[in-house]
Amino acid sequence: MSEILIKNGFVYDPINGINGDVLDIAVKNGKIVDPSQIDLDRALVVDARGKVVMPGGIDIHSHIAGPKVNLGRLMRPEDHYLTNRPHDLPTRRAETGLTVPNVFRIGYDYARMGYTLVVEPATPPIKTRHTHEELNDIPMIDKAAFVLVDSNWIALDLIAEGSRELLAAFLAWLLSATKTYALKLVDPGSDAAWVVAGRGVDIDEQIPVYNITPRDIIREMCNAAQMLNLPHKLHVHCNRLGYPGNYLTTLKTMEITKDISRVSEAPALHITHVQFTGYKGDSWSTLESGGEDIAKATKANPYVTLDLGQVILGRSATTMTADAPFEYVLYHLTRWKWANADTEVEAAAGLVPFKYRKRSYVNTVQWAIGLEIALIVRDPWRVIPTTDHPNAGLFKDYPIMLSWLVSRRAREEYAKKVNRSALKRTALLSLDTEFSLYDVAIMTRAAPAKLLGLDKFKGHLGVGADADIAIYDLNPREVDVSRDYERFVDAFRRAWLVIKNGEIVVKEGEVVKTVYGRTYYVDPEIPGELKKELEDLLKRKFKEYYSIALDSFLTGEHELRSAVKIPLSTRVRG
Amino acid sequence: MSSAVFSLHLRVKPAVLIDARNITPDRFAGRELSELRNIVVLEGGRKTRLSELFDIDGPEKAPSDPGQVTIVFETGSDKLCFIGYRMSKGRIVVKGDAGHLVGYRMRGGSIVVEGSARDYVGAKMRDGTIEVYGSVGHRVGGKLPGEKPGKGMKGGTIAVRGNAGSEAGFGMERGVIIIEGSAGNLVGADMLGGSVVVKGDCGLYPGAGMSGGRVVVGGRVGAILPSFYADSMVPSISVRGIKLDKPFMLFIGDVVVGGKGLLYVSYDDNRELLSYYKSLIEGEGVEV
Repeated sequence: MSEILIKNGFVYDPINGINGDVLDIAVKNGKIVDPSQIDLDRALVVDARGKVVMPGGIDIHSHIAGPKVNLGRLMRPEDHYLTNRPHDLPTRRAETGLTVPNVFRIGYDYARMGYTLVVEPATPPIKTRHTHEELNDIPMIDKAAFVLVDSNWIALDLIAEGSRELLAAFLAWLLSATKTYALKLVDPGSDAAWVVAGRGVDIDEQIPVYNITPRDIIREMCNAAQMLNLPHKLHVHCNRLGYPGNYLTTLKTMEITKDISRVSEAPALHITHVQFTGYKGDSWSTLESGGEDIAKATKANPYVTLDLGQVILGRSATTMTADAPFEYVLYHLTRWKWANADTEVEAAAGLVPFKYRKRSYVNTVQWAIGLEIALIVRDPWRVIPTTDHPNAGLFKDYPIMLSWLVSRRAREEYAKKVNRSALKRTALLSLDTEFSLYDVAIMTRAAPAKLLGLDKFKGHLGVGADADIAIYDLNPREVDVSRDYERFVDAFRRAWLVIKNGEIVVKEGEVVKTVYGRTYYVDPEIPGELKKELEDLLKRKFKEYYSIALDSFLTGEHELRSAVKIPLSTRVRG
Repeated sequence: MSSAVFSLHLRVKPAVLIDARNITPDRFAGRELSELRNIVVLEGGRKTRLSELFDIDGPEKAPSDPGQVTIVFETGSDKLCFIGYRMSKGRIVVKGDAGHLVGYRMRGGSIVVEGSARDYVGAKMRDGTIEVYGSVGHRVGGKLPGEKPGKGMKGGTIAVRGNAGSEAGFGMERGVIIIEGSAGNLVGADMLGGSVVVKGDCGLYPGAGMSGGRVVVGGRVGAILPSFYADSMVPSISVRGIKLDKPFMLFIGDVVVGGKGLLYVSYDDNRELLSYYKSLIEGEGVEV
């Protein structure tokens, strides 16, 4: 592996507190090393004078792989017309698709923007083997997946019984059996309630059969995540997503962090695509933004982190979520195409193509909510901009979304094209917060790395970190991003140079080499005595619930292209 | 009005599909013959020049108005695709067979195919006329897979003297398709408007998923969907000057999509199938 020395760039590395200083970054054997260890005769020297050097970007929530993504591809052939780009072997494979692109375009487009780690946030356990097959084929980026546990019958049984230790052990087993990274709750309990009673549930409503509430599920999962000492504690998609007035549910969900037994001061709950659960008002026609209330609650509660799910207007999107009851409702609003699927025992999913319109009242409110939350909370370490690709917007539009955060002018220019009466009812235009490039580096690099617990070797440029580096052609001394936001968008859309794992993979926005990243998963240890009890439970439950054998359920490490196991020592007692 | 005629002879019989989307009056207009020889044509996905595949004869310079350009394919081939793509004026004559997507997204002018054509004739066309002397493949005047109903043909006329394949008028919004012979299954599927007239027989389930427009079947029909309800008997109908002087039964549907499309089925040719419906309309012989 070659040695690379990046000279004279303006380095933004929030984890090490470097804010735009001119520094040299040295890369050797896929790791960042001290510049003195580089043999200058052999090293490739990159002159990054007048350019921004950042760690590789990290996307904490983007639906890039799994059965429902594939279902989207099947359902939307029209998404692929006029988007084909032939291969250029051996450098690049063929690309196609817009909202649900093929695996190659996903990897390449992320790399072109300087992203090097992306997390697939929802995979049903029984189909996670498929998710890994797809993740294996996504080039350029490192990957991880979150496993769905929101309506898992075994987990619900254990919660209803109140066996905390066994629940933690079961979740630990599930994570290592499916080779996933963290727990994801999607509309907790709703899929179970939908199967039985044909309706979703709010946070304090009883789930039929089990006689527990979604609040119990979230609390017990939180506790289990604390016991297991998971690096990313709990990823929650709140109940009542997409319904007017649901911001109250979101606030209640945030409150749960106060009821649990924490083991550390680290964030205990991550509320994802909060825009979709920040609606005030009692119907679509009286919809208002609940952004301010959520922002206030977030400021007051240090154990909660958010990501936005920012809506991008005027672009087609494909909503895909494990919140099957909501997709059923959405289908009746759009009345075009719809697919729902249910896996045995565990989870469900739905898909509906959607287009957010600039002139629409509702869509404009949605657009404003995400930005309001980010701008009012004003804490880039805890509020992470995402578009919940491809639900609210495409990951390709991240630079545009970031431009709204760094530039008030960009927001005002864009606001000229949206629905005026909706805009008047939001506080967006009165907010004058503008994030700096340093904040952008936090939001897209440092904070997600910290949140995923990967900040030892991801999301920073200190010695020992993985050599994932993005260089953007933007001179922060000359360009004022808040005024010249278009330059910012251009620079971030096409990275000038991207280094993945010590190799140059993108030059001036074009892929020059196809590489394949790693897949991270956790393996929490379970004490021996509990292990025996768990094995008995699994044998019994698999016989009772599943159509497949326990051995067929396990995904082996050899099925992952390049697996990285993160062993965890837990606090579960035997 | 004089017209400049360019005749194209295929040099050899093509073995792979040829993308002839650049061979249109709009591209020819105002260009010299030497420039025309260099027009890009794709042969099996590879770029090549028009003169590699065709011998071209015609005046030294094409008139600047595409409406005065006539392009004649002296030899046809079922490998020639995208003939008349997005053309707005002028005339194309194919003295033989044509391939897929003849007149795709056409905006005006006329195309005459003296042989048969393959799938997607006049798909997504806006205006103009297409006449095919032989038969056509599936989805005449259709939309592409996955698109919304109404994304198909938006205007103009397609006349087919032979037979048509399945899903004629798939997702069309306006315009007329006239098929002199018979048609396959699902005539007028997902239609939003416009008319499809099949003078001969048709296959199963005409009008499936239609929410507007008109489908006329002048011959036998394979089966009618249960989501259509029989409305009335009409003694004769005329569509755009074509008079069909025999009794038709009018169905309205497809109620599955809340549609109000009109489906006319010839009564005399389908007595076995329709006599029960007739008794329902006339209120006779219904046993509860």
